[in-house]
Amino acid sequence: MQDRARHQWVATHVLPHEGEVRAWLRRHVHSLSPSDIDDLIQDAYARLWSVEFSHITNARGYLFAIIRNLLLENARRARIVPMERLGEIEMLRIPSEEPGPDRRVSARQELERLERMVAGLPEQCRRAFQLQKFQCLSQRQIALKMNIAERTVEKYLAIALGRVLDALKQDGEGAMGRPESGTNGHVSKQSTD
Amino acid sequence: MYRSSRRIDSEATEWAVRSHARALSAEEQAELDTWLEADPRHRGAFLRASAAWMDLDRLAALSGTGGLAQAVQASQPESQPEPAPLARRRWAVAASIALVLVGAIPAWWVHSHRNVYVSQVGEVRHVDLADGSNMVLNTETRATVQYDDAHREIDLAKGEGFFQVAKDPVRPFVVRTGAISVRAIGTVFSVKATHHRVDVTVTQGMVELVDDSNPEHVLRRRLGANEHATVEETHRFEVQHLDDSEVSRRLGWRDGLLDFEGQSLLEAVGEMNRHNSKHIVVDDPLLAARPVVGQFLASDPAGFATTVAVALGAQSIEQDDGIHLRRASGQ
Repeated sequence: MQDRARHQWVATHVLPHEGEVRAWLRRHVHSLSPSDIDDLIQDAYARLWSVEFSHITNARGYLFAIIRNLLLENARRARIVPMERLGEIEMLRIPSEEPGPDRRVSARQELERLERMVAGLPEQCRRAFQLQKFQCLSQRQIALKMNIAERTVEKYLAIALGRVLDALKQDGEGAMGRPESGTNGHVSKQSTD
Repeated sequence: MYRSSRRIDSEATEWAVRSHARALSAEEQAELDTWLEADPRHRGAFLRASAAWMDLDRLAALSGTGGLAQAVQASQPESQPEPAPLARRRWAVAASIALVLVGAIPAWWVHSHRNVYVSQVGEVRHVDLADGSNMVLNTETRATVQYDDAHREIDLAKGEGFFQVAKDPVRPFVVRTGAISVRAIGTVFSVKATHHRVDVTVTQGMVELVDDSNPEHVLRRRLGANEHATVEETHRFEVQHLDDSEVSRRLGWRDGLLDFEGQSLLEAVGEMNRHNSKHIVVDDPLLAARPVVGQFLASDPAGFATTVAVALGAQSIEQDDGIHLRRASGQ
């Protein structure tokens, strides 16, 4: 892939803040349904597809800014938020501080989460995933070892990755990534529609 | 047409896994391109899935020999863990080690070791370190290794080293050269320090590159697998992604090979001269700019000169001060 550098940049600088952004959306934009949030997040990553990322020094702030702009655009198109909420969105304050060290998840906690995720995978799927990521075997080697088709190995790995992405969506305790600031795990209000 | 994010995510994970774990066929690549082109949200989902997939390498590096890796071993008692590509090919070769202990051995010896390893011109030196890590020193390299309870530090005064780091979450592994340091937890990477320039190549896992030449403004940058960073002047990291063949080319020196893919003759000769006391001199600037392609034995400057002379229509003349390359007469 030509774009591994971009993927790596997103992994290092953007993924860790996704949980925080989602929690912020849940807390402040109550009209959003969970699937609205998923859509917004996908749109936000889409904006990162072609930006000159090496110039971005504060990825977290940048991510929040994208989300805010998307909300405003959607509000103008009245897709998600009614017009009268537009002003409200403009008033939204992006949390200024990064989570303090005590709020950040330690490497050990991250690993424990990953272990839980791995433990929850179907047997074959788990084996393929472990062989790939922890034994650095190639697709072909895994296929030979497990006596299955390479295409099947890919399916298994995709399932495992899907679980990782699901975990990213959860805030606080459940997340694979690092947590957001200033939340006690759950959002005060649920979506209204 | 509106498509659910869930559906898109599931397609994105398959593409991310496929495109990261192996080379796509031309057909698949075209299919992926079409899919990406179809909807910006496809691109977003693919970027997110790819990033998460790569981030797993960082977690794998952190986990080391912990539960996750062991789970595989336990369920697979019959199988030997296969060596990772590039990483462990040569480790069985136990080379003699130039080990100079600095000073006497006082009481703190038990907790702190400080060893200096030097490789001579043309030498490639394999060193097994006390914690199970390995390093390979390229020609004319000087590395000071200092281990204690909380640190594993290597000072690379000059030259180039390849490091395969044993995982130890408590003691980070740091390679320092001047104001630039490379911090790893469990990973495989190389560091090359030449005149005012540091090159870092990561083959597995992840490292953190730190430039603290200005304590007011410390610069940090994470590098993942197949990423390469160059620091020429302080306060600037040039990062590029390398494909697998480029990575193995850059690390060919561990096998005593130098591999050129169109670098100028001047550059290639510079690299050969790093490995040999018998130097090659290029007398003609036009010739010096010509590209060199091919694999050469690092320890054989005469063979290099002869081959290159034939390929570039030049003459190779051996003199007291080295081997001279000049354009063949009549050209």
